[in-house]
Amino acid sequence: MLDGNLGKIATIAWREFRHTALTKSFLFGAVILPVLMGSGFLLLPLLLASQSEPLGGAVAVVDPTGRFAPTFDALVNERMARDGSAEAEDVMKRLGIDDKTGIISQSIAQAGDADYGEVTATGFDSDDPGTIEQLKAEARDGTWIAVAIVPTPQIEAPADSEEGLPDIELFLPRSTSPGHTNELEGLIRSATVRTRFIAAGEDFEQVQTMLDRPSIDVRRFGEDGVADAEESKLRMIVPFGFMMLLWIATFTAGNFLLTSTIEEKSNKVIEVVLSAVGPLQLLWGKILGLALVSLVILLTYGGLAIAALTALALTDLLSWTTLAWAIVFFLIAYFTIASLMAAIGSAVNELSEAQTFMAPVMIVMILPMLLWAPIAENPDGTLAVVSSMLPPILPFAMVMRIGSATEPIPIWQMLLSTGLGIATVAGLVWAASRIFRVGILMQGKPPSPLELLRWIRQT
Amino acid sequence: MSSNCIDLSGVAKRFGRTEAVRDLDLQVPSGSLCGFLGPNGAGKSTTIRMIMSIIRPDVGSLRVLDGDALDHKDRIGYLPEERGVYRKMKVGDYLRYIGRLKGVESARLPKIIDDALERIELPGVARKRCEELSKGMQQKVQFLAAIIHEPELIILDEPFSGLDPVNAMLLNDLIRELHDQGRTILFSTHVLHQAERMCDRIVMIDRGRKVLDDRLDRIRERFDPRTVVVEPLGDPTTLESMLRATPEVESVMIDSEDRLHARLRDLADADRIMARAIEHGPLRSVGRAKTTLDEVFIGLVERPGDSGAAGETTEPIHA
Repeated sequence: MLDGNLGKIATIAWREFRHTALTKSFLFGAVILPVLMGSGFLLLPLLLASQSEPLGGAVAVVDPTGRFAPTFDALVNERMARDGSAEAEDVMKRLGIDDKTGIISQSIAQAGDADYGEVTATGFDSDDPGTIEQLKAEARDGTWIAVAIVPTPQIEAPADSEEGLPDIELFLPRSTSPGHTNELEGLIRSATVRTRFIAAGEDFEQVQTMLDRPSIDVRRFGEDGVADAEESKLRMIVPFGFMMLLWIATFTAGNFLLTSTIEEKSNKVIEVVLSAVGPLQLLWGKILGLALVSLVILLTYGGLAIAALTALALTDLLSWTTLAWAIVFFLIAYFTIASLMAAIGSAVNELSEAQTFMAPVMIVMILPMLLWAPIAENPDGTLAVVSSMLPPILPFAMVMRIGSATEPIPIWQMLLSTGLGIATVAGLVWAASRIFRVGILMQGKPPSPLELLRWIRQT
Repeated sequence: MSSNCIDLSGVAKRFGRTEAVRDLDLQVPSGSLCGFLGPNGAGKSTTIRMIMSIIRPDVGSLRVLDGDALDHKDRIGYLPEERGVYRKMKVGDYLRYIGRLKGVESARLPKIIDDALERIELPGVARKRCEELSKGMQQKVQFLAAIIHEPELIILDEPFSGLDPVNAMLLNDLIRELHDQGRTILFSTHVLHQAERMCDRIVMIDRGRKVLDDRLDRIRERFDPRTVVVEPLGDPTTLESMLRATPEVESVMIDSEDRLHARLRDLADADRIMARAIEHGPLRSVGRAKTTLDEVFIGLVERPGDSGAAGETTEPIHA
């Protein structure tokens, strides 16, 4: 008998899973698209680098001082010789992304470096209109990739100049791409600044070094008193990632559960199914089937997140213990949401009627979002501890604590939260089964919240 | 097992202030084909849902296959009044799913489904989505889903509703086949001539209360209208005069087709009256009037203020 019951639950669960997850729309929307987007995010810089043609050719510079062209050439040679990944790494660090493997930095550097080809500058001392017109005509014929007219005051700019400096004029062929235009503008600006320093007799390298903002190596004292390196600003993002993973996996599957239950009622297929199985078998079959759907979503998004952390060599932010606890709280979160959704789905006849009962679910949805910042900032604070013990938001709050904790969370808190979570799930599943048993065959006006309570009390 | 597949005793069910079923006793003998009749809202579907343990009675005892229907779901086939299909599912998948839920081995299902679809004249629809079928076709698929596990007790709630005459006839034949195989069948309907054509037993309820429960032949006997119908070849008036003059005839009525309906007094000998009519003149036909379930039904469910009905009582009549 038990085997028969379990077999029927398994049959229902498989149907729910198959008709939800093994559909083209689900596979495309929830699995293939995120995987493609994730891969694209990592591969895009490389793709861009391979697609763009390097900038190359000669620039005609009209510069009566004669200082600009040599500085321009020196700047271009410097940039071509430089390994751009160091600069990219610096940018990543400032953004709080600790790219230990250097994969992303290298990609960015390659993408940036790809724009620098053989660019040279040829200086012309005469700024008479005839020479300029001649150079423009040659640029149109393809002799020059650009003609830049650098007014003398731009190079010899007096420090106390009150009047605005005249603009540098840049003439480009119509076919110059926006990327190359930006590149040329950047080169001319940098070369102008550098030429000014040289003209003023300063050591540009020394000034640049003095203006560099220092980087700070943050370390925190661990339990053993040894200072550990601060991992990165990802400390703040990891708990949010944990919570969002749980949020997406549980609410997506919860919504499927709600719509599938309502669909069975509105299609009037429910009584046919109930002639073969009991309402509790149906409820459990649906909950377990959509648990698998939730797991697929969790594995897809979680796998992408772990792949990203691996790419950034940040897997030390996660441990097997952390992942095991995350699974425990995922299960608590899923069964909490699933029992609420199943109860609501069985009580109403249409999706629009379900909105009345969605308030408690909305609270569970929104509160974790609001709690992210305070919990990530202070994972051992009173707010974090209390919310991680408070049903029904406790699984979401606890995964945020687990993700952001710099110190291990006391084991008694983890166990107490788990115990409270399991008790909440048991209570909600019990109440949901009472509502489901009555509501699933109910037609007509949807019940009031008080009626729902009466259904729960009914024997 | 007892000789009754279904045994209800003193069952009642109330929804709010509405008494849906009142003090209902019902026995459906094994192997019978029982029609469960009553006007709309009489309590038929509520009773059937209680038999199926989908809802519980407020009072009374209820035994199905010597136990609770919940324990014997795999032995019962049920076609509910409110029935539907998973619209996006393929017909074959749907029948396989219901078959698995009803305990049929997976390996046997493909052949059972193919044969059954062939039998209901829907070969080749197994790969179609249910939503692609017409309403009548969906009805036939729903019927198949109810019997796919070859149950010994089949309960059908308004099985003919929504079917065209051709498909109604097909369903009629299928039900008879199942009955001939020895299965017990209870079906509800308010289309009385269907029940009259098929059933060997009739249960009628009205306003939640049973008003009739007996074998069809005994109902006909009990509700014999004691009327002789004579169709003369010539002018009916002379025959009418003769009949009116006969002391055993209570009243005579001529219908629009010039047939004479002679209602006899109690204990009158119908054969003798028919013999006298034959002696009196040339006739096209003569015979006893047959009770129809429509007449019995109208008589039994007569509401206060209704007129012209044939019934004498609204008290329960037991076999």
